[in-house]
Amino acid sequence: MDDIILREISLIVIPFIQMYGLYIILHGHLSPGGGFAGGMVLGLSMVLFVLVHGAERTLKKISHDAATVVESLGTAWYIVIGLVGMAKGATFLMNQGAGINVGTPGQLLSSGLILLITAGVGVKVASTILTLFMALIEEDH
Amino acid sequence: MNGLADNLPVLPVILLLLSAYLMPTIARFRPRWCAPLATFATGCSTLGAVALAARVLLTGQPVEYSVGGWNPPWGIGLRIGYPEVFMLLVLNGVCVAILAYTIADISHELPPKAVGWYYTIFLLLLAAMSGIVMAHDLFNLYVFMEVSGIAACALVCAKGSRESVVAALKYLFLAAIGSGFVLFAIGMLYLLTGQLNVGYAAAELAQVWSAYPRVLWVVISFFIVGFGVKSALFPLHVWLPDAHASAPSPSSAILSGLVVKVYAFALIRLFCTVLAEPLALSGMREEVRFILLAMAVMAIVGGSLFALVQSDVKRLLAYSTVAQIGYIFLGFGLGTRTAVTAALLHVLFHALMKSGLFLSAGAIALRTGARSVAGYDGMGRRMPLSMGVFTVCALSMIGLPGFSGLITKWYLGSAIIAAGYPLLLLVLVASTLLNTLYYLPVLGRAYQGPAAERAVEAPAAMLVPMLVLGGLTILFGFWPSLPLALAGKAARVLIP
Amino acid sequence: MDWSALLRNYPYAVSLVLFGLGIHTVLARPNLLIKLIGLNIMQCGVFLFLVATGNLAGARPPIIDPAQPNGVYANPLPTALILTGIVVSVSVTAFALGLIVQVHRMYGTIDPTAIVAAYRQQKGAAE
Repeated sequence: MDDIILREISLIVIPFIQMYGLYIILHGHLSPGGGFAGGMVLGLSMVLFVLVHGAERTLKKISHDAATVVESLGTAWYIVIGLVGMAKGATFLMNQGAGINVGTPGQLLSSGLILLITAGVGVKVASTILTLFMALIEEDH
Repeated sequence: MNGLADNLPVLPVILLLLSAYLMPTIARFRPRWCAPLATFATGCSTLGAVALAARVLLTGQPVEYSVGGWNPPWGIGLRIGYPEVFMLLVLNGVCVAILAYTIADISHELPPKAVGWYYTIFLLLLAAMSGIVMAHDLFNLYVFMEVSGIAACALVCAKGSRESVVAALKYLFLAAIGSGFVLFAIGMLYLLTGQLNVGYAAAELAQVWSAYPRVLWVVISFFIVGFGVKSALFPLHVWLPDAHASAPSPSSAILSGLVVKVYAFALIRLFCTVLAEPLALSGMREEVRFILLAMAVMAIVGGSLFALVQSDVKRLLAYSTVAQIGYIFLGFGLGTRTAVTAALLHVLFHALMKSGLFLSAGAIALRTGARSVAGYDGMGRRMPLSMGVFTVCALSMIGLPGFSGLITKWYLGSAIIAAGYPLLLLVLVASTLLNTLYYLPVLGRAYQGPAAERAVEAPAAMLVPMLVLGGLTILFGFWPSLPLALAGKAARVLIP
Repeated sequence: MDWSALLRNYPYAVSLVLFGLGIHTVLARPNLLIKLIGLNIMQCGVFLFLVATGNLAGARPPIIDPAQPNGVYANPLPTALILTGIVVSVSVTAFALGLIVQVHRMYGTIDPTAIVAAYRQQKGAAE
């Protein structure tokens, strides 16, 4: 879509959308939202970029390989975090019970492993949305 | 809780999930490592299942596990007793053979770009099936069902051919309808009991069911329809032949050999735990038994009749699966201890036979390009080993003495007589005849047909897993005592 | 029969209607995209049913209110479960959309009857 208004406005708007997505991801343990919702917002900002600037320019920024690696490692990260509880001698995905400092509820840096897990989920969902959209619009892959 | 031993129930699933998600990254840098690593991971999870089996056998108690340390009724619980151990061993063991087969085969089946994701999906499917088997929580059961449903569809369309894409879409729609029914039924159970943990829901339902007999009927029928679609019970089987025939051979092997049975097992486990008491006390058990038996008989006869007219070998095998699912539901439907033992045994034996059949058909198609029954002329001389495995498995399907197929037919037959439905024996006999009718032409062509020049035998890495599957089919035909003992213990847990 | 109970619990009735409409659309409409929309309507019916099970007459949202510590509040569990259900349904939809795009590329149509006809024709040409 070659339209100067769209191009310029999108470049202004996209950073704010991404900031909002990151905000939702990082506040997943404090307010409604979290990894999935925030990752969706983050992914949709990239979809907006694809719509306005075309697939080729997006692929220069985030290649298929990079998206694949991020996507697979995002989920692997979730499992690795789950293993922390086991390494501490408790069960899979155990958080406070495994002796992890969960901080004060209501603060940004609290909730122990949940913050780390939502971050992984957010990255994974964002790259999945992008990959999905690219797969749908590309003529042949 | 301390150490790895206490976390044993989740370890195999975690290992499978972790290696599943590492596969695309590995494929990006070392594409050749994917297949061996996936086989290795599945081998490790099989060892985990063996360790679980040893623990259950030694203590005689089911292993319970709470994910995240949240105890029931709040947390997600896993519970592994004899039936679950039996299923886990079957699932993991057969998957090791199929994955070992793919080491040499996968480059012929798929474009190189798809290989990494193929193993992701394969391992996810195995992990999800293990989850369905182990889940002691209704909602978790649903989530694992959806994961395995999507993964199974993705395995079908991995090749991206014209047939497989349409078949996968059909499968996806019907699988989603099936899990919609299951989720609706789970919602109604939650409405009645306020619990999702299987044990607590069962205890609660035992108290309240008599006030809501109609809701209970709807729950039961939704479960039958939902799981029936997913496990391809006869009138609901329409997606299976297309999906299983157009998928790559390793996918067909896991889909036909394992996936459909896991849903049958899940249905029966729900009937034997959550719904056990209402079914027994309200007299609905007779009616549910009638429905299951009727559908099983239709499946056995209908599946075999459809198989009779197929010209494509993989479609023939797919319709044969429809018929064999009928055997499993026949055993579960009768609901006596012997019958359930026979059904569980059939889950194992049919998994071995059908994956052996699909893998050898894949090897034959790879080397000679033969996909139709007519193309099997002289195959016994062209590819003696691959066709040998095919023959062994086909004869076992028919139920010749000395093959494991006979063992389940024998037990099923004695269970039918003991349960007092002598007419069902006729179905068993008719099905054996029909099996003979549709497998013998293939075998006859292979050994009597005009011989072409000798083809190159499949590579050793593909032959060994096939020979192991065929060998186990014969071995269990002569010495069925080990699986029989385990299945007997499992049946005693399911039918107390 | 007492119909007032049905009226009081209208979300259940609505969810059943949605479920039925959805299934009818999936099975009967001759367009893959419409079928997919029907599938989503069906799943929405199921989700509505489950969310409705968490509601209580006169209940407040399940957020701790210091002013009313002992008030009746709605059961948050079904809502949380349905969040998972929605994610699952999104992934099914995305996967199905991807497949439909593939089908359209390969056959040039998304009408199941036309696809079957095209497939038969191609198979007949091969033989």
